[in-house]
Amino acid sequence: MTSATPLVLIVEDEPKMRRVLRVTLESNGMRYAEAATAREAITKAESQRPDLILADLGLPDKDGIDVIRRTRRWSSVPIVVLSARSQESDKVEALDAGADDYVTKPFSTGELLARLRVALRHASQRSDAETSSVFEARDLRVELLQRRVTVRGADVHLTPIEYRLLTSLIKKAGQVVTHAELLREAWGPAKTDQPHYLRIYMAGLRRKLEVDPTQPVYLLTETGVGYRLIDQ
Amino acid sequence: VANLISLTRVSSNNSGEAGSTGIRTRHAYLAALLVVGLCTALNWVLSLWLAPTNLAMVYLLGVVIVALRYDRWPSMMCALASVLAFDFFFVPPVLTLRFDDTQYLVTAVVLLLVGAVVSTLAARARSASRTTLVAQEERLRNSLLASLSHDLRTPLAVIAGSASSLRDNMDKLSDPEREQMLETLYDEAQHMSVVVTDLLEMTRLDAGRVALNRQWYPVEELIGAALERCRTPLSKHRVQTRLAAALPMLHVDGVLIEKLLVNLIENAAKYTAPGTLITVSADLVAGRVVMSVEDEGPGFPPGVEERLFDKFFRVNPESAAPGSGLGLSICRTIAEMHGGRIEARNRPQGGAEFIFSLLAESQPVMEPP
Repeated sequence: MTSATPLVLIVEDEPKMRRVLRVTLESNGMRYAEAATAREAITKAESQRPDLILADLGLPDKDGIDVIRRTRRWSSVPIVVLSARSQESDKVEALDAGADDYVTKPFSTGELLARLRVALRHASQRSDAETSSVFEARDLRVELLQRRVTVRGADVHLTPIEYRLLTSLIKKAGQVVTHAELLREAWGPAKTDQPHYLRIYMAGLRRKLEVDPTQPVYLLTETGVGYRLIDQ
Repeated sequence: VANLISLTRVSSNNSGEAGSTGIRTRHAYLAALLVVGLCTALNWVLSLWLAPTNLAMVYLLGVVIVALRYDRWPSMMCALASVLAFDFFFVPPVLTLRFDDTQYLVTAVVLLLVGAVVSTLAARARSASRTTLVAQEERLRNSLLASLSHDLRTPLAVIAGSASSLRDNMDKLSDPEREQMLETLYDEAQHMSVVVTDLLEMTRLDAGRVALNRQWYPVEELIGAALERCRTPLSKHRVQTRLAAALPMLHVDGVLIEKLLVNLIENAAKYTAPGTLITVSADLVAGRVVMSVEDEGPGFPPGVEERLFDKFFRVNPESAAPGSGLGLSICRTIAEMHGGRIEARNRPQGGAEFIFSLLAESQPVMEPP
């Protein structure tokens, strides 16, 4: 699956946008397949087994969310949404349906490629079953087996919940993790409607990891959606 | 976009009026009858002390009230019903519709005339205020169109120009020239995107269909998220944050408050020189959480403090700095939706300061995890 030139399935009904995406992917060492409708996307996801699906949400026959749900029933292929819908509720819906990341149109190709690479890297780590036991980003180092967290060379003591939040974010480093998902991972299903719990603990985590919590470098907020831990 | 805006406005007006016209008319007639009933009850009591002619004054009052609120026909009906009720209950011979004294005929005519005159005058006043409203909307639409044609056509012209020049003169252009044109293309497209986004945001907020998604947010997180969003525009500035210890959490729509802060911070970055300091601070003053964005730029001419927040107002309309002229009015709308205040002032030591404040609310209960 993880050949040198990954295959990306472009799901997009607008021919001009498909052309831009084709050129962008090809000139950056990726192969592509194309689908202009949700039906075509679902078929091609099965027949071509892409390494990544880049999906628009507004499709002529069905909503892109359906494509995500259908695909998630049988596949863990990374799905990155590329949509003009910029409302936070749309992002949350797509992410909770199983998308790995979300990029809004208009986008810069640099940003899009960075997100695609993160998604591909996560997938390859997952399939290689070689989840690294050490996470490192800038001056933050987390030894997952020893449960040891250091920042700028100094040990940091986290509460159990703070540690669970941090490891949930590490699992998807570089990608946004929704409030619902973090709440579920740290507290279980009972507290998923209490996002302020999450915010208070994230604030605590920031005070321990960031030099200036009001100008965070590691734990970035996607207001209305969730949090993103930087991955390098 | 202009179409979209006028459409949303028209449709929001229609849903307010057309749908309920029938119901409102029926309400008007019922209200008129109710008023007559009340006047009759009041007169029943008053008739113990007062002569019948004086009781007509009470009906007159009722007719005036109805005429002020409703159209001509409910008022005329009110006047007519008043005449009948007055005649039936109070004019001798009581409990008949006969009247022996012709002076009561004058009373009846006066009641009808007053109803007609007052309702006409009130209707005229109402339609005059509607006309002012229409005129205001018209003015807004014109400035919208003027702004649109400037803010969208300028970047569009630059985009079309650079793109066609690249297409037609590909081999005649030097590498740096080509690069410069591509850079311009991208920047201008970006600028258009900002204008369109602001316009859509303003339209959405103006249409009044945005329900606040209020949740509890630490101030620290809101400011941090806004600064993160502004990383690119702030890349040439120095940034400092100053937050009071133990600020209460805010019960707000985080996405909108972040938008408000982003607009203020981006403005500060846009209108001040590279290398200058931008300070974002938050404090608790007299039960209010006060957030402010200060800069070391030129400030603004005194006297425009209020107008800064008006739609399409720009201190320097021909300014090269790209903008939609909507950023601060979006801020004011968001602040008002939250029951907050926003104001601008020139700092005594130079530079501008924008201050946004919200009432601190009692904090949510936290169970131990």
